[in-house]
Amino acid sequence: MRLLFTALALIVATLPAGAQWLDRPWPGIPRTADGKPDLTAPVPRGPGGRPDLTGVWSGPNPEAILDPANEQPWVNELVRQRQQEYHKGRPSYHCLPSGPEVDTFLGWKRILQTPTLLAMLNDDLTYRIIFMDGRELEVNPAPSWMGYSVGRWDGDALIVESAGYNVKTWLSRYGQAHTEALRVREVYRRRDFGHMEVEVTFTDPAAYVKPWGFKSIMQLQADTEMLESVCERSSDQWVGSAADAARAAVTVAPDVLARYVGVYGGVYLNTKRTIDVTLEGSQLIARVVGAAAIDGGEMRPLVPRSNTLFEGVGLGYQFILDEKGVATAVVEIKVNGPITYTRLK
Amino acid sequence: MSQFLFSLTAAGLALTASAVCVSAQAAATATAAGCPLEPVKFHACAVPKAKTFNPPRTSDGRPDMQGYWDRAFTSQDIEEHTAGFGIQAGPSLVIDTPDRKIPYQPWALDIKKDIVERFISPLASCFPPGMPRHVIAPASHQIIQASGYVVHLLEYSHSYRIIPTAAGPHVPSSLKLWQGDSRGHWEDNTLVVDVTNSNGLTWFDNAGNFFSDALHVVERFALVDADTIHYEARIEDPKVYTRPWTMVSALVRNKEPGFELLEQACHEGNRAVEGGQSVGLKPYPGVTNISGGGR
Repeated sequence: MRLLFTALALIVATLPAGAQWLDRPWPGIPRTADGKPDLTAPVPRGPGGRPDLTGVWSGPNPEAILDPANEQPWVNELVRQRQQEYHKGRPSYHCLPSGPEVDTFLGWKRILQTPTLLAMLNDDLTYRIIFMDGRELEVNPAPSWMGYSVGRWDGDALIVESAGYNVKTWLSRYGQAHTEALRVREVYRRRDFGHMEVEVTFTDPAAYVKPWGFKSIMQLQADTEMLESVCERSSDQWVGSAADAARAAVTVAPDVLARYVGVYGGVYLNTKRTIDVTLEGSQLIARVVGAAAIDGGEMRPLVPRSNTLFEGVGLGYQFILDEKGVATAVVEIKVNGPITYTRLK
Repeated sequence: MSQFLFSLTAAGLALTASAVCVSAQAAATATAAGCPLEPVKFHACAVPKAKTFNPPRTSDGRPDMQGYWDRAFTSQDIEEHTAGFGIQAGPSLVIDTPDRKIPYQPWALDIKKDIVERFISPLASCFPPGMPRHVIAPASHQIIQASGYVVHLLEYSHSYRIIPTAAGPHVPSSLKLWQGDSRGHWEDNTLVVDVTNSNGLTWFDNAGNFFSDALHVVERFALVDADTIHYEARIEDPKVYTRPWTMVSALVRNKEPGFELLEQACHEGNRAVEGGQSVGLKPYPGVTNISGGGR
């Protein structure tokens, strides 16, 4: 079993640390009668009357559906290769900046707004400056990890256009590649004191047939503080791959595999999810579906270690059987603890 | 050995070519705001000037320190040092000890003697520079002010520090942070920053000058003229030093037209750690975790 855990460290890296939730009352913010931050109070506005986005924000994982049909063949192939390697090459696993990766738009960040620029300070101590002084994007910017961003107001919406990303960054934790021609458009609308809509669109015709992206709502993390989350050690020593799993695989009879086909439900990071288990030929496949769809849009081939234990792209999947041999649950095994999904159908 | 150590720090030094870093010799003549840059002389000249200078102000009435800045001296060695391979000579930044040296306790001085021959420089490992080194860290700096906050962006290692100026007390002492916990307030035109919660794993410089996780820094940033900041850091660490002491340096505005910070993804292709390990250097564990440390 321990073998399965080696690659599982991948999962915890992106979780907000529990230590983030310090009890730190913010002075001067609107409060409800019971003294809690009034997250539905009106949008604060700056000297020019524009919404002030300043604050510490974090959002749920975005609802971006990975669509292989929208990927150019070379992206498809890279995504497949990276899955085979259990995504060990993800930049943040090597202490490198995450650039335009989906998760970073909604992770913990402090936004500070001044009349001429907006600073987005991430908890990994990387930062972006969004120039608000009316400048245009360069036509041919020097590629960088965090890209180059300019912003402008359209009514109460802040529109940020970015370019100049190097090709080492990924667009998702699942290894979706892009070219240097990638353009990212972000639209931020602070709806009220505590909520901000975020809409991100990736445009890169040489990599994706159509522009794609996601929408989400970030929440103001009032009465706490954002602490640093410094990458101290690269994950160069991580082991595990689809090839390793295949070498360790055992043969499981097709009728045993067929018993696991079904839908299982559970909760991960306060988000309801289902795991759809299907059988394609002799290959058992798990697909995690939930509000955090980007987290589960990926198909995980399940490679048998025993009649009930499977390895699925670095995670363990243990099927629980009743005395009649019927699968009643599947336990997803991660470094941050097992999660039980009970059978729904 | 020493030649090799210099190459370890080369990653950091590559970015030290910013325009205003001056050598010890040049420091004798270099000036900013009409003050010599040599730290003792600069301090004596700049402090009175800062008291009478009426700085430009942000919309909330605070002195406006925003813009791009370069440090006056490298952070090769905050004590006086001569030039070496890839290293500029520089004066001591320590202004208030009789010999201008850091007042280490005897055991600490013993550790300091060969610390760079035993441990990999934290900056070579691409760790955030910590306080107070952030302020004198390699490459260019940018200061941003928003209501209630001062942010200090660093080109080197692509990191930043944030200084809340109205946000209450420090985080609990059990939290140990690479960048420490900064709490600022304005005293007239001076930004005063109290720094605690250091993890004790960073150094002042490439020469291995160190502190423990008991470090307490009180920094003072004041504009001397529109293009010069007087930076002073009072250092307190009863575990390591015999007395509190003070370091001073000038920050000089970078007025190059169209200047912007570049990005340095420090970990990208960084071979300094494996280079250090190959000659037996260890990751720096903090002085209280070194045999003989913290006595």
